[in-house]
Amino acid sequence: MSETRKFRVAINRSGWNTALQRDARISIRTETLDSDRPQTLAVTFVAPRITTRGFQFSSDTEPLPCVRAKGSQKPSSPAPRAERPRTRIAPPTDIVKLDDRLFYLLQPPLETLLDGADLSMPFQPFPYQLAGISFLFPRHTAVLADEMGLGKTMQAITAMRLLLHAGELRSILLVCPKPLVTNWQREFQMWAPEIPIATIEGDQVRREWQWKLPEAPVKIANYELLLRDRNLIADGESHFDLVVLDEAQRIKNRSSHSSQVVCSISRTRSWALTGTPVENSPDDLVGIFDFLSEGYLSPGMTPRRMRESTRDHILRRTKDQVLTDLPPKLYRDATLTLSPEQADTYAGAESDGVIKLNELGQSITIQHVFELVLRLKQICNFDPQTGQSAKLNRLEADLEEVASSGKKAIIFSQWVETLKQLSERLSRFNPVEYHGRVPSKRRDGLIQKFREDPNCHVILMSYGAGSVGLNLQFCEYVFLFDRWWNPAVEDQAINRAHRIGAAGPVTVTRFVSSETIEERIDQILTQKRELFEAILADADSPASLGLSQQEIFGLFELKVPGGRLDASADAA
Amino acid sequence: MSTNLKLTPESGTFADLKPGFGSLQKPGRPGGCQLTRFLEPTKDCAVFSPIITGEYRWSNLGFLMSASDSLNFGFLMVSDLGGDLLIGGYLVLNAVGRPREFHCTEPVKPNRAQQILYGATLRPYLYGEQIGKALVESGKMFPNLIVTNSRHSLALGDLLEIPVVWLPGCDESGDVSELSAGLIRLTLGDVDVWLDERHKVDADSIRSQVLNRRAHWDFQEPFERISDAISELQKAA
Repeated sequence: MSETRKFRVAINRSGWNTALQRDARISIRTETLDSDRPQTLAVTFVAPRITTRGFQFSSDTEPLPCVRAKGSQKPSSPAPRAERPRTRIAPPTDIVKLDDRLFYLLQPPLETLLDGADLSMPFQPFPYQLAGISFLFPRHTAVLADEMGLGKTMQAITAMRLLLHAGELRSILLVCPKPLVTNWQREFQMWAPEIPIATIEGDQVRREWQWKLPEAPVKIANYELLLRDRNLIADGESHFDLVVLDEAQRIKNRSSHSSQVVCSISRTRSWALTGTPVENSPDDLVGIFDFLSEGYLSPGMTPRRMRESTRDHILRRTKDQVLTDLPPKLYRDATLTLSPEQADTYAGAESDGVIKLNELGQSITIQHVFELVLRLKQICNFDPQTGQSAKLNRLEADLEEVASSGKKAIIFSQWVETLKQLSERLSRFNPVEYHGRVPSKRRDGLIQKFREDPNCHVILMSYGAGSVGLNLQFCEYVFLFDRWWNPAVEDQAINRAHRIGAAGPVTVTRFVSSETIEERIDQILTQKRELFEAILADADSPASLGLSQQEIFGLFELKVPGGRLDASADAA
Repeated sequence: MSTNLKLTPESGTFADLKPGFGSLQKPGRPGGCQLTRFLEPTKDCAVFSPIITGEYRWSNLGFLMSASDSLNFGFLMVSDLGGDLLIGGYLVLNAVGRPREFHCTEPVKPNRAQQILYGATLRPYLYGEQIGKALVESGKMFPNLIVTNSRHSLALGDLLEIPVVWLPGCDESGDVSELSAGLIRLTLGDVDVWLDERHKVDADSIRSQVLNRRAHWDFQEPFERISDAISELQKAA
């Protein structure tokens, strides 16, 4: 398809046609250049001047020879790169020198530090615990204020261990309440077995020698002993690279002797461990910070200002916050050493009892053995003569923290008499008793009082008490003062606090007296449970996971007599 | 690979030289130059006194290096800050991943003439020959291996006796397979690195050093530390 259009066109004359018709004319002209060579323009450029700045990190910080890892196991093959967690160490804000800040920034992740130093761990730490260790590692002043049961002890020990291996620390003093000394010894044995430790104890001459012991980079002392030896440690010659206070709320009163003594110790780093940094008032924290850095806080500071000032020095996690890291039930086994009176009584009772059992010969029955076991277990609870109890000492220390944080605890025992003794000795926690001797019509009221009274922190229960409907889900702490024969019964007791729908993880503390019948029973039951779980991991523990006849007789290295026995073999 | 350097001898003669390892101290450093034994001497190599026992690695960059009983790894990173500004970071780690040295450069910017005339070779020139060389020269430690997260920094390998390998990371733009022309791949446990095929004689040595490091630390992770350290320095500045 096309169309025709008309346009007006103007033609301009350019003269091209005329020009192209002219004949070409060629002319030649010579020009003379001024120089022989054509000039060139050189483009020069200088290589960029590179200015560098360097930092050297001393390789002279070697650990003490006594701290070398001894035959530790190499970790198993590392996880693939994408899955490997990395807990980095960050310099705290009070480190201002650039070299020091870079030193911590450039440290490898904690996981690499542990792996590279061939440091084995009995259990893989939770992520929040690695975060706690990386919090402590670079700090000269720190408060680890995790809720009870989250592993403050383990985090502190591992941080100390890494610093000792890095050569950053050479002398450490750990101060704790007396009932917790053996606990710290055990924890060091578990988490840092290659670190030599010295427990300051004994008469004055011995203690003087122990304070000066160079082979033990870690020294453990209790608060009371520190008061007695203040002249030895605050003599101007002693210096510790690190002083750690356990249950640091003990020094919240700045005018107390304990506070004055610990503050007078010459040290480079100061750490405080406490589940309750503020018990009654914000000034409690002033007392703790007087130890960390005198004058950093002052009484009467507003809580807001106090919080801003201490933000970088305090790390506190609660179970709710680290819920995703935690299992539903957190077991912390408290292995205790009997008090001297208990130990004497126990030794006598056991040897007499075994002699009598042997004298029975073939007429021995399972009932005879039960009786001896029960008697020994009662001595592990309380010395019958003096009332001394290593378990109670530890329990009181733990309950202080439970009560201070406003939480509630269940304490189980298989004996009503034990519960009554505990009720009397723990009266300041306003306990309620719930066992077979309590009339049924009173029981509901007791549960209600325990649930609703903010001053009532403890309920004392027997294993057999309670019903299916008993609901104590608001309890976060369970203490097994003495153990039952059958783990399934213990589980049932614990589950009164922990059920589906429980608010958070339950911390279960199981008391076991070391080198006693309790420890032997615990070992057998643990083996049986592990074997069961290895085979049938998804199934619930059966009711018959108690001790067999042979195992009960084996507690005293006795043989099962021939023929039928009168009593049932199952203790549960 | 060794290159020839012309130096002024203070004592000894070229005829006294015996094959072995040697080192030179950077001119201007106090203490003069030291030499023990050196490898493949030529008439252009110099001997200096006093003779110090021990083994040293020959360097053609003229800086002092000392052999170490334990492995050291160097990590070289050049960051593009935008606007043609580059900053280099160099971290030396021991065999368990702990830091020995850290160096970084001031921001470097090529001028217009360099940008035009170097063309496609500008990045290897800046990353390897300028920034990388300056950083490694400024160090006192002698790494057994240098790992870089930038393909361009491999040019440093032509200047050093130390093997230099490339570890591609998430920062690398472009497809690794396209960038790996002229390189050989070394699979070392859970680490894959790339080496200039002209230096493939170093492959066995590299494999041995990486597999013998005392901890299974991730080779990508030190670059995060370098990045954090550079940020810290910039904040301080």
